[in-house]
Parts: sequence; C-alpha cells; structure tokens
Amino acid sequence: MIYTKNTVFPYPVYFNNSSDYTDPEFQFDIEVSENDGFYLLQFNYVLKSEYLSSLLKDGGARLFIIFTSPFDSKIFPYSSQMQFRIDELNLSNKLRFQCFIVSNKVISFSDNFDLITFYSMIKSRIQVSSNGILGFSNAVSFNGEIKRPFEIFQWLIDPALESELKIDLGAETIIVKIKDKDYRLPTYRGLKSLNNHYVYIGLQKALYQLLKDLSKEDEISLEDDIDNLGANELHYKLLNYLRSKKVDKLNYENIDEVIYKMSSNIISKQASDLRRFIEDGN
Amino acid sequence: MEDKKWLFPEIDIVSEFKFDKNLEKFYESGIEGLVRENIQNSIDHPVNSGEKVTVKINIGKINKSRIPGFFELKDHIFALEGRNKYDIDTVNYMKKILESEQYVDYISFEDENTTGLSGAETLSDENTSYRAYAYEKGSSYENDQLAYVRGGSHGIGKIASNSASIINLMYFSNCDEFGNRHTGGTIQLFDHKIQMKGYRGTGYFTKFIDGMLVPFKSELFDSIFTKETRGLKIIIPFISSEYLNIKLIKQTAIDSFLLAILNDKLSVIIGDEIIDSSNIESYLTSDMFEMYPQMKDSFYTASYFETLKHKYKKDLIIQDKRSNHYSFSLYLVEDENYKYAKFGIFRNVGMKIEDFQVKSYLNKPFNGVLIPNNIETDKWLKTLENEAHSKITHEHIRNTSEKDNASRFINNLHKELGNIMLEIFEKDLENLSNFDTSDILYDFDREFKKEVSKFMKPILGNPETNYQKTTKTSTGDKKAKNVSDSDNKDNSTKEKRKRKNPAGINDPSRIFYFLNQNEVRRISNMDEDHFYLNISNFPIHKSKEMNVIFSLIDGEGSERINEVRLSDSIKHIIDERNKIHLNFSDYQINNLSFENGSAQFKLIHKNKEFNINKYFIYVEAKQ
Repeated sequence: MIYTKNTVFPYPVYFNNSSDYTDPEFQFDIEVSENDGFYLLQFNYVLKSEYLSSLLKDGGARLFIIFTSPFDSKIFPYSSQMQFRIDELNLSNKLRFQCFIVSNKVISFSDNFDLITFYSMIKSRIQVSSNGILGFSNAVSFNGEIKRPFEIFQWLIDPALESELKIDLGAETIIVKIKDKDYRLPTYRGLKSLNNHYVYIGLQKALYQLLKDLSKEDEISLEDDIDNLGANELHYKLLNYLRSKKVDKLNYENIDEVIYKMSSNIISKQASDLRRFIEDGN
Repeated sequence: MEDKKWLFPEIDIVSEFKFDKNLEKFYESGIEGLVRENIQNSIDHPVNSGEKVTVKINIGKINKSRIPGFFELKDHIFALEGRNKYDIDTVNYMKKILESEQYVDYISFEDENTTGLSGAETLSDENTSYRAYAYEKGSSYENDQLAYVRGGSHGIGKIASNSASIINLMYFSNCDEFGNRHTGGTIQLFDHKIQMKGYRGTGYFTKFIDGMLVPFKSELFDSIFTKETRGLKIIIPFISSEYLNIKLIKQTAIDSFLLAILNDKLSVIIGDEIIDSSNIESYLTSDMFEMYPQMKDSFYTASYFETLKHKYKKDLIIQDKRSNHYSFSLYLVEDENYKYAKFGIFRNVGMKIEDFQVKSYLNKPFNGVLIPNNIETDKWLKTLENEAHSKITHEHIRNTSEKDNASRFINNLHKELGNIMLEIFEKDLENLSNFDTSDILYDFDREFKKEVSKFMKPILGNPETNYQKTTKTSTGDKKAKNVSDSDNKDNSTKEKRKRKNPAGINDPSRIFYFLNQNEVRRISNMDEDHFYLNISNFPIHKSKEMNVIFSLIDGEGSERINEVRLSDSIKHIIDERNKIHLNFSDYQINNLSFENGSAQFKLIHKNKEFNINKYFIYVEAKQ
C-alpha cells in the first residue's frame, strides 16, 4: 500500500510533513538508465532523523521499497541499485515506488529524540511491535509515456471547423482550434498577450471537464492522493500544476479563482497590451 | 383437495407482507427486459449446438374462465392485505382488473428446435431442469461447475415473466424429447390468510399428491397453454398494456439479438411476420431504426450493422486483476455524424449485453462492436452480466475478490477503448497546421513549462523516449509548519473547515467534520489505544459533547465505515477527562466530552493484541 497523509497510525510515524516529528524529511529518488536490454534503477534517499538513521545502522530497523504497477505490487529489501530486464519493467505503465522503514524488533520510543515535545512525557510508553512501520518516504511515480510533458496547449488551424473556435480536450493537451489563421492576433512590437483570451477559455473548459471526469461530490482536493483518481495525462499535468501553485481544492464555484492562481495576468496583460496597441495606432 | 390446481404452501405465521422486490426491478425493464429474458433462454438451449432456434411471439385475448385455476387465484388475490400504500394500491388494482373485462390480454413466447425442460415425469426429489424451473424461485439448473460464479444464470430472471402480468401470473408449457407435455405456472403474491389458514405468497400451478409435486399434463387445458412440439412456451395472461407494443417488441428482438439473427442462429416470428437473416436488413434500413441516433438511449442497431460491415477490425486484449487475457474482436467506425460513442458488446450466442459507454468518451463520433474471440472470454462476459442482462457490472458479484477482479476488468475496458479512440483522434490532428508560434511562446505556456519541469523529469536521461517521472512528497508539497498541538490559530485567517461526511453516511441532517493528521494523536499498546483529538479549528462549539465516527482504510486506500466493528475487539471506551464509560456501536462513539477544543479517550482491547487498523476520524456536531 502507498500511504496517504491522513491515515491515523497507532503511534507517531515519520514522513515528510508529519506533525509528530520536528522537521521531518525522508526524500526518496530514483535514476533510471538503460543498458544492453536491462534497466538499471539507482535508488537513493535522504533521511534527516538521527534516531531512525541509527536504528537502521544498528539493525533495529530495515528499509523496504514497495513497487506498484497497474497489475502488480512487489516489496523488495532496499538496495542502492536494482536491475530489471526490459520486458520485466514496462515503463509505459504508471509505476510507483515508495520507501519504508520497518522495525526488526520491539522498539520503545523512549530514546526517540526526534519526536515533538508533546511526546516527551509519554514516549516511554510507546512501543512499536516487530515489523511495524516506522516511517515512509515520498512516492516516486513513473508516469508512463507522455508525449508532450511540458506542453499543455496545442494551437491548430482547422478550416473545416463548423464554428470559429473549437476547444477539444485531448489526452495530453488542451487543443485550441481556430477556423481561420487571422483569428490569431499577431505580435506587435512586443505585445504578446493579445491572444490570452484563448488561454483563459481553454483552461476553463479543461478544468470543468476535469471536475466532471474525476471529482467526488463535485470537488477535487489537491491535498489528497491524486494518483488514485483515474487521471489521464492532461488531468495529471493540470493537477500537479495546481498543486505546485498551492491550489488546495477545485470545484465548480472556484474555477476562475483557480485560473487566477494558475496564471495571474491573463486578463490584465491582455487589457494593457490592447490599450497600448490602440494608443500606438493613434 | 385434489381439485385444487394451485398450490400455495401453508404456513403457520404470515409475515411477508410485501411483493418480492425483484418484481419491481424487472417491471422497470419493461417489454425489453421480458423479450430479452425469454429469447435468451431459448437460444441458450438449441437441440443441437449451433442450430437455428425459432421464437414465436404472440399477443392475443383469452376468456378469463379458460385460464387454468382462475377462480382459485381470485380467492387468493382477494385475501391479500397490503401494509403500505404501494402494496395496497397494487392489490386494489389487481382486484379491479380481475372483475372488469371478460377477455384479457396475454402474450406468449414459444420456441422451436429447443430442448425444452427435462425430467417432468421424475417423481422423486431429484433435481431435474423441469423441477428447478417449476418449483425453485431463485435457482437455475446448471451442470457447469462455474455455476456459482456465473452471474448470467441468476435464475431470478424467471420472475421477469411474472412481473409483466398485472397479477404477477405466468404459465409455462413444456414438451420434452419423448413427447411428454406438461403445463405449470407460478404467481408471485405475498403471505395471506384464507379462513384462518395462512399461505405463502408464491403459488405453484401443480398437483400435490402424497407429499409430492406432480406436474399437470397439458391435455387438460386450452391449446394456448399447450406446447405441441418439443420446447418451452411461456404464457403471460393479464399482460400490462404497455407490453402490447408490437413495434417495440420487434425493435427489441432485432436490437438485442442482432448477431444471432445475422448468423442465422435465431429467427423471430411476431404474429405472422418472420424476421430472420434473409430479411433483417430491410428492417434495419426501415424507419424502425435510425442510422445516427440523436438521443443517448435510442436503438443503435442500424449503426452496429453498418459498423460490422466495416473493414476496421482489430483484436483487443483486456486483462483483469489476475493477468488473465480476454480477447475480443473490435469493429470500429469514426463518423462525425455519431453524436454518442456506443459500443455493442455481444456474447457469442448472438445476444447483445450492453450499449457500452466509455467513461469520458461519450460525446465522441464513434461506433463500435465487441465480440469475444474465444469461449473463455465469452464465459467471462456471462459472469459479468447483471440480472436483467442489460449491462456488464461487478456490483452483483458477492465474493469480494471476484468483485474486485471484475471491477478491474471493466476499468481496463474503459481505458483501452478510450485509448483507441484517442489514438484515432490524435491522428486526425496531425493533418492540421499549427498556429504560427515561432515568434512567441505564450506566457502561460512558458510558465507552465517552467513549473512542470520542476517536478517532472525524464527518466533515462534521454529526451527522445518520453517516459517521465514525478518525485513528490506523499503528503503534498512541503508547507511551512504552522500547526502544533496547542496552536489555536485565529479562524479568520484560516479557511473555514468544511463539513465532510464519512463514506457510507448519507443523512444530510447530520453534520460531520473530518480530522486531519494534525488533529488526531494516537498511541497504542497491547492493552489500550489512546486518542487525543483537537478540534480548535472547527467552526463549532468547542466545549460540548460530540460523537466520534471511525472509518477504516482498506488495503486499496478506500474508506469503509461498515467494516470498523469496534465492538468486535474493544471492551470499553473511556473518556479520559471525566473517566466515564462511553457508549459505542460498530463505528461510532457517543457523547465524548470536549473542553476548549480538545478531548481524550482510550479504547480498551478485549484481547491483548495490537490494534493495527488505520482509521479516519470524524466528529459529529450536535445541533
């Protein structure tokens, strides 16, 4: 299982942003290279907790990696690298890896000085049984094949359109089609924002469809695990982008506010560019 | 006693005062459900495998007095006493209909070149197909070991015929390979009393001699209730008028059995009209069917027919959770005149299960047909059919692991079909020219690229291959730490917490709030589980009694309240503030006291063992 942040464990567990520990950090990353019919995965991690690091060193705990694919899940003891035959590891599937620290014996938290002060009186009473989860890292997701990872819009001219403008949602991009190339306003002396209305409309439609396709009870919380929503590549890009822009939720009422957080100057830039254009024309 | 034609089992205590809910369910599928159920039974039982079966559908009127045992049925129906408005109204309507006309409408389904039921003459309790059909309500007679998994033979489908009759009455007449002809029937009422004697609601048209159920020989009855040639005939008197729609019967028969008819495995005779492979095309091109339906729920038969003629065909493999591969032939057409993308999923026997819609791809210009390529796939599809044979679902499957497996398969089906449509769609785009963006990159595009490159990186270092990875914290991006246990942030600077219901509680009058990781502390040992709750951020009264709801996270990360079952493993729950024992049920603790936004309680285990369950916690605000 890949854990999400809201699970309540029977004792304090170490993970990024855990409020039971002072400034916890457990970062996990993977580099992939290909060689001669094999994929080589190199794992590395950063664990800030001295308490847990010392447990790992003296054998009180061990590291595991959990790997999930759409059809399978596996657990491996941690090693700094692992080889897979190319046919064993299908990179076009969505794969996830997460690192876990697990106890090797019954452990008392009386020496766990990384816990927050709330626990100082009671930590001696806390015992973790053997094979209990002590901490987990972030998840590393392999997103499969994304043809256009950094693009969100495609801009096309289609003279066969029945309307002047059509916005389609592809699996990876928002596709804006105009019937005539003249609907695209040109750049003029550095004024680049004259076409921003297309961006706004495209984002609105994409966010609306995102809610329709993926939301539960008409809302998507960006704080939850978005990998379980059944997102396609476009959804995925949008959701991750919203997260990086600190949007915490999306619903039908706040689409405009969310667009504002995504790009704060769509309308104002266009307005000011148009004004300058008009003034220059005179 | 021997004169009685209808047997209602006598009972001492009458208790079931409602009609079987399956009657309502099947009534809702109307004429389509009835036609599909009856024709499907016929094509599943040809005398020799692969031969053509004929089903004759007739509508007519019959004099009430010619209905076998009619007057007995009248007595039983008049003895019914409904307990709720719906049943009372239904019973009153039945009584009215019984009294009104002398001639009543009936519909009959008669098949030819089928095996019929066997073993009518068997007197012992031995399970034969006749006995299963005649006397068992929810069973189906299957030799196949897969029977318990196969939802396709629910056996409940028999009720479809009862549900079409206003008085829930159906007769059947069977002729076996030896020329033995028997007539039986069932009526679905509910428990009632006649002159102080209690009777069960299901009545059987049968003799009851010396404790044995003995079928009637058909020669005693009107020819309508007699099957002369080998096979089975269903007769439904007092048929509801909405079933008397000849056009809809034809449309349904053709639509649901398109492949069977095209492949010459089925011919349907409605009144005098024969519909078979030689003339079906003329029906499909008539105004009975639209080539490009404008409504989502129309008949797509003519479209499927065209699609099948089309050259685009590919083998589609869909996997389930256990890596079983199921192979289908997919026929697909892209045509901008199609408003809705529908896929006809057919079984090898030629019956269409569903006009399948792909999630997120409904309004797309496609039409498709899916046919299993082998027996395993065909059998698998049958297990996924719901009771009305109108959809593939996982919901009717009882066994949890089978259910999950089926659900995975269906999700994969959505995904694969979606991908195929998408591929075609993207290919179409390749022919269009781009906006000229050589001089500028829109600001938004640039901003997007910048942000995304922070979290999305190519694997394999080589930008040619397009595999990407994202490294993210499992708890979202690192936020500035601003919450500690005693932190009481001013509500006006934080967003107001929103109500959220635990999964499984739908009562809108109850108000729940979800506690996130910062608001719950939990410490467990073998004897006890201590919980510390902090609700200082909630827009409710901070010092009051509140209920606490637990829900359980299962292995897949889904939330379930009905599996928590606190009472199974917990002896006592004690409010640590006032040392009071709290009342609790399976997933709810009542009246936990809060003071200044915090509460403390402990669960005392029945057995000395760690409670390893992982919970979500909610509090319920009392009004």
